[in-house]
Amino acid sequence: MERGRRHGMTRRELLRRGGAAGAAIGLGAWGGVALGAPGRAAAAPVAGGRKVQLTEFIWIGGGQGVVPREVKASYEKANPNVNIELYEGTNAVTYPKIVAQRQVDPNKPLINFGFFNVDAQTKGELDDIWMSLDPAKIPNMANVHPSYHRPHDTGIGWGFSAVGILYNKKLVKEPPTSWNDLFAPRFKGKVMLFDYAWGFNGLLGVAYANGGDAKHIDATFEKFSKAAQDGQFLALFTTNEQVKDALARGEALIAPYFTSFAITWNQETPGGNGPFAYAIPKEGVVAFTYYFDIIKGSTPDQVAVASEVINTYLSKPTIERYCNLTATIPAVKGVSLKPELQQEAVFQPSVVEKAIQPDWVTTNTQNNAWKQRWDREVKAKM
Amino acid sequence: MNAAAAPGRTGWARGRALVVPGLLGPAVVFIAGLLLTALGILLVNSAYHFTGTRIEPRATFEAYRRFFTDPFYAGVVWEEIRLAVTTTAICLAIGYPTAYAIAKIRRPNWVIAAYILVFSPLLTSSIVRAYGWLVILSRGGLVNWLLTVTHLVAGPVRLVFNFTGVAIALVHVLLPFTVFPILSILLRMDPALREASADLGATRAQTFLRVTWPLSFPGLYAAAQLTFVLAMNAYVTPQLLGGGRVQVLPLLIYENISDLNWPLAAVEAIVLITLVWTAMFASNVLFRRRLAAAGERE
Repeated sequence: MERGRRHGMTRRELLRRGGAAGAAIGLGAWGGVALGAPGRAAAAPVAGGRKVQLTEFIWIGGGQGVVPREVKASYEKANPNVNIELYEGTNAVTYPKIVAQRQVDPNKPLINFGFFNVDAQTKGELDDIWMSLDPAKIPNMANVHPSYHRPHDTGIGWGFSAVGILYNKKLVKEPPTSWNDLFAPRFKGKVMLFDYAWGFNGLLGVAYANGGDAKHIDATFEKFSKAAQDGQFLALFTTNEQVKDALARGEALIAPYFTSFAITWNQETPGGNGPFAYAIPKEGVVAFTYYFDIIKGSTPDQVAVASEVINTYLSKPTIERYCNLTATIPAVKGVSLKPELQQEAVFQPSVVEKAIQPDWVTTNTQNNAWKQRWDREVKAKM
Repeated sequence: MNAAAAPGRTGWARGRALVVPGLLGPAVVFIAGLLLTALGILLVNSAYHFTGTRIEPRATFEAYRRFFTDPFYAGVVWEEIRLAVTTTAICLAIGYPTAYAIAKIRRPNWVIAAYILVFSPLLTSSIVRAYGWLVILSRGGLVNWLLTVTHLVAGPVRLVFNFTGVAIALVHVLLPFTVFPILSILLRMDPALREASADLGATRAQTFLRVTWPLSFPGLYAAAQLTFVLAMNAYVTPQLLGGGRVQVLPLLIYENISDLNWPLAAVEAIVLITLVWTAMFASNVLFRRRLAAAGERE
């Protein structure tokens, strides 16, 4: 708990991070794709040439599997003694499984390393799940903006997504401009919310937009409760596909969610002209940071391989390609995004600087209590 | 000779007596072992303390207190039972005539076509099926279009993200499980019984009510039990079509496991198992009493 609190982020840190990431967007030039080389002498085989089998957790959907597959293929080709199994899913589903497996056998983790969002990162720090990364084995950690480093190197940040309000641009003539538009009469019965996910279901956005925060959330719950009773919300969703489908069909008009999805879903639509758009609330988007972590219990050989793979991800060309494919804001210095993304409103330094950085430690410690309130005060009244 | 043969026969008889337990044993040990182990783990976990972020292995039974004193969970249990009973009732209302009609079909090709039609919901993934229903039942979907053009409703009505949508989709997927047990009983029924009834002057309706209907009861009970159990345990359909409005125990169990609140998830699982077993036990008792009553009347 204490440790987690130390990791909490202040508004000053937010501005520092925002400025750094904003600078990253403007720096460098968009180049070709080349996977970064691990920071190991090419002649020396990893793990002394011993067979190494390990599992990497990657996210599903929105083009997020492309680069991990390329990295895996490239790494395995260069290191025939290594087999990396990709485990695709969401942090919400996978993190509890990691904890469950640790209870069964702490020396045989379900996942050895992979991608984790700030929610899982915070939980893992509170639960002592993550290993300390070794900067000597991951020299590219030096490329990451200092504010994305974790105390004791329990994980390393590499980018973040901005949570705003998605909408159907073909049906919404007057896009939302504020988090409070979730309660606007013109969207009555057409608002979709992610179930329980406080970082991207609008709860924290609305709280911070109205002078509250993770520690002062009562008024926000009351707002959501009244809206639920008044029929403001169409439904709660738990998968990307649910909200994508409902927005595309016009069943829902707006939904607080990752702005990057509006970009990637439009790209996935034939002709690239999907109905998705995002609004940046005037109070600021919610920043949702991403990390690489290695799970405790992994063998030294697995740690060696995981470190090299993470090092590859943190190389500029690799992280650049990942961020370009997934419309993620990079936290690695010198990374440049493709021109289309650079023009996107959510990638502008002014937006990044103004982003809301919630108190994730409080959010996680209050999660259980908030779930109870959400069930009773929001869900039960819908 | 007889004296010499006797020990051999005894040994053979002893060996024969071991055949049934020997054949059943592995399955019983496997299933019962797994079940009891899982139940044991559930019971242990249900007693533990959840701090809000992690589980502490000390018995507090807080999860039980929370579940049984909070009206929210009473509402969820009520919703669960209401959904299972509604789905089972609709499935039986549609499934019995369907099974009866299929049993009457004589042309083999038509029988095959009917089987494919009835069992087609099981040929697609539950997620694909649920998304299909989302499209069909949405405000701009086929059903609302039909209702509107036929002037049955003034404007689109909400058929998804509520109890109605979940019930419709569950009936669709569970109907095969209702039809099959009834159909198997109807097909096994001796046609001579119905012929005898007709020969004795009974009308078709009388034959159905006094012969076919009572004899199909075992199938009806089996179908009702199977459908009810599956409806009670449904997860994907309430999740995707309920839109948060239909709260049932499998959803809560999943949410609490994801949230690492395993004690509460364990209590919810125990309640779900208890509800299902109680329903099964009660329906079996009812069925036996009905059979006994029918036997006494004869």
